[in-house]
Amino acid sequence: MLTKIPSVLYSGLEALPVDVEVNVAFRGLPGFEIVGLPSKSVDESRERVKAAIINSGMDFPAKKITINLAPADIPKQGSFYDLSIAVGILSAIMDFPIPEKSLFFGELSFDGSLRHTKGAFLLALFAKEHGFKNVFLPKDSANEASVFSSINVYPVERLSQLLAHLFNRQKIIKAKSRKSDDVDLSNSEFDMREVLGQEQAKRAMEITAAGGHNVIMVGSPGSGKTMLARALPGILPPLSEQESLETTKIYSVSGNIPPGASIIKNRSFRSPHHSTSLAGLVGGGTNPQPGEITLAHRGVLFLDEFNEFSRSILESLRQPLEDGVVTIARAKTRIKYPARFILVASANPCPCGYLDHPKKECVCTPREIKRYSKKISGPILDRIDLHIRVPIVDIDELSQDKRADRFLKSSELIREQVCKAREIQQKRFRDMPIHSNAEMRNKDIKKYCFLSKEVERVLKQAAIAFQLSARSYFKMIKIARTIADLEGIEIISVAHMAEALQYRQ
Amino acid sequence: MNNVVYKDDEEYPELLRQMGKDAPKQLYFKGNWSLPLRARTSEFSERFTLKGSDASQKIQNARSDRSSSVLQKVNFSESLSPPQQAGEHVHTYDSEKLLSLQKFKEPSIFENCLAVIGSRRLTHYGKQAMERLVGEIAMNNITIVSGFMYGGDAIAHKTTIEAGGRTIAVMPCGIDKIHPEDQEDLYNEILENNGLIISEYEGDMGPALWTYPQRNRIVAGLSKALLVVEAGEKSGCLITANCAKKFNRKIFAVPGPITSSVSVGTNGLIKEGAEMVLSAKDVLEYYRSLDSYSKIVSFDHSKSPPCHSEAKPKNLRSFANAQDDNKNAQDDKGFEKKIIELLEREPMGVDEMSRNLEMPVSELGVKLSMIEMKGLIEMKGNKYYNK
Repeated sequence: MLTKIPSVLYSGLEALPVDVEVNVAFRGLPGFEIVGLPSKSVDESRERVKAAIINSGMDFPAKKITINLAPADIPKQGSFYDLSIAVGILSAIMDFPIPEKSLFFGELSFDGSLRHTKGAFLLALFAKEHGFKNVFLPKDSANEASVFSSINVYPVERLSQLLAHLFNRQKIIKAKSRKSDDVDLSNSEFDMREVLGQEQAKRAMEITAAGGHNVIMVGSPGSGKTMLARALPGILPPLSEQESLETTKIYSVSGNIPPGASIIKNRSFRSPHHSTSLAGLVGGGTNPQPGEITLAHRGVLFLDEFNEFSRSILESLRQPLEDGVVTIARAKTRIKYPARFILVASANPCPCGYLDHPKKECVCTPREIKRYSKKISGPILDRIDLHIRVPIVDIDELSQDKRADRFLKSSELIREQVCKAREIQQKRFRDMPIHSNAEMRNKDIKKYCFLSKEVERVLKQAAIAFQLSARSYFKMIKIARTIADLEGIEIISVAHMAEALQYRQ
Repeated sequence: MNNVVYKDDEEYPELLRQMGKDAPKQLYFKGNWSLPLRARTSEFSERFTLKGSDASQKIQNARSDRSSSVLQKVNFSESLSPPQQAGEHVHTYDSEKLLSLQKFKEPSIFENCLAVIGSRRLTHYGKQAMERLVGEIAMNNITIVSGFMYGGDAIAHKTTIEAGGRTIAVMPCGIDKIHPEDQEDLYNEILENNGLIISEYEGDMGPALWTYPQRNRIVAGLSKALLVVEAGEKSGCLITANCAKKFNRKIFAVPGPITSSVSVGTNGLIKEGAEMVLSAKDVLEYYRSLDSYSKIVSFDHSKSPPCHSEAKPKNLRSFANAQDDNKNAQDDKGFEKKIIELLEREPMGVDEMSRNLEMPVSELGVKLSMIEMKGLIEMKGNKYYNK
């Protein structure tokens, strides 16, 4: 008795069609075999399926059962084939038809219940694109998949429940399709209002958010670098629907969506520790998995203690910073993951951290300081537009200083301005493959950033006075462009340029 | 090119000899002889031609085994230097001439020495004070002696060279070693500007904990007076000051804020009776009162060179004029003055300034960039300073 159930196979962020072929032979010694290059997790599915069927109150057939995952020459990963296999076996022995245009997805527990399984969102996307009608998946993963109104999502709690549904005894209630527009923006941990002092750093964050620029903060421990970085997602514009789907895809595949959660609506904030491996940061492994930079796609990648990261790891950021994608090539596979993020780096000014500290003494020699700052290579620094110093703030003094409150802006207020600036940029780059000022190449800068004679003169003076490199020169123009956008002004003025110069290297 | 003088030699600095048993037995030194002398060449040759004395004989014996290699070195460096310069000093390369060349080409370098020392962790204030004082002092033909350490010492050497003065660096390591290594540029600049590198130790011996205080005693011993700009409690600077006291040298100290840990030492010295220095004049007056000074330099007060900070024209200031055709020039000028006044009182970060002036940073940044471009203020670390 042969049954065929469609399923999927994940390769990077793509889902490819797979057939789960179940053959229950009436001759031969009893056995249970899976073929079609199953990985360990797929192979172990045998034990789970067997136990789940038995614990659901049915007999497991003492027959020769063979499962083929076709196409047979591509390795299969994951535990989600459990449900397809179980349904296939049961269909063969209990002789019930498998509903057409349906996908079964999920990992089985020994007691016959279904567990939250990663990749549900991608499955729903696959179903939508390939014309499937019904998707049966674990209840905990249902929210993730119920985004598209064109498919029916059936949240399944137990295997027996699914059988009752398939025998038309008791139908499973379809999950309500969720609308993606109920966005909760109060997502970031800190509001910019809560950050005391640091007026310049906050302004830099505003520019960063508005233009998608990368930023590096240098300051002593305890000056509030981390707090500023964590407040950044809160002033970024909300994810567009497209962006939200992109992010959800990544999170779904990497199993970063918690049980019961739906699609990602908030900008991601990733802060990997400096001991993170290369594969952990940019992605990798035998079956290349997305790394932190991909998880930070459309969000913020915060690298605290930037110069404590190993050099090779930092260098590996060059391609993604430039292109917004990372290509992971292995002997057997070549996978592209998106990685368009805002890099927020933070570093101490010296090894001990207390250089220029108002109260503590720095104990580093000039040589140590030089070596410390040299740890970050030029090409990486070149890709970081804004450079700011974050001084130590005297909290007691500041909380009494009422003058400090005058310019306090809430994240919400800043976000409104940022959104306006982004809209201007979207209009500007509508015919281009780029979205923000930060992505402009030098030739785009010439095209979109007209500098009047006077502005150019100021910039040239600055280039001499501050010894700006050619790269910095263009960075200044980019920042000035964003500052002008924040004010909603088309022409870059001397004031915009002068302010941009504050954030030079 | 280096050589050595012994305690018995005629060329041995007199002041060091006065140190008695503390005087170093020998001094290795390095100087760049291929440079044209600025003055008193004849006097130099008169005083320093070897007269076959016991001392010179001793040197010759001590050096005979090495002289051939030294000779080769000389030939090599001379062949690299422009011919007219080489011709000025060296005609033939016989060993007698060579030895005379290896003596101090200008003994006057030792005659009016001022030891200038400062903390390794010199603050911006210390740097400003040092530049203001040392620049002017060095212009008045006073040799600045220091210890070539980074921080205060390095700035003392640098300022002297910029002011066109002569400087002596006393090394805590062997004469052939540059320590700290990353100050190689400064090392070469000292040599190129008629300065001297001195050490008590031979070869490329590394510095040790005990060689620093030993070096400090030479710094103090070589000089008629000692100027301390910022010194922490129990610092190397205070060791030098103690040596200076022992050798009866005059001690000058620059006062600092009582809250600063690197001013504890200097303020303590003042309390103990060191002379407080408020301007270069305080130090110069002391030197003018010395016989040796008036002998060498006919110091004319009315023609005193301008203060160092103004002597070095900031060509960036020309930007100031370029900006003035602005319509808001008047306003900007007023604001500029306000900022400079603010910074004159105390260096400040942007955030602090923004609160003080009650102006959002976005606006303030614009003004600060413009004023900084004019070269009136500068950003160091995370604070703005008045230039």
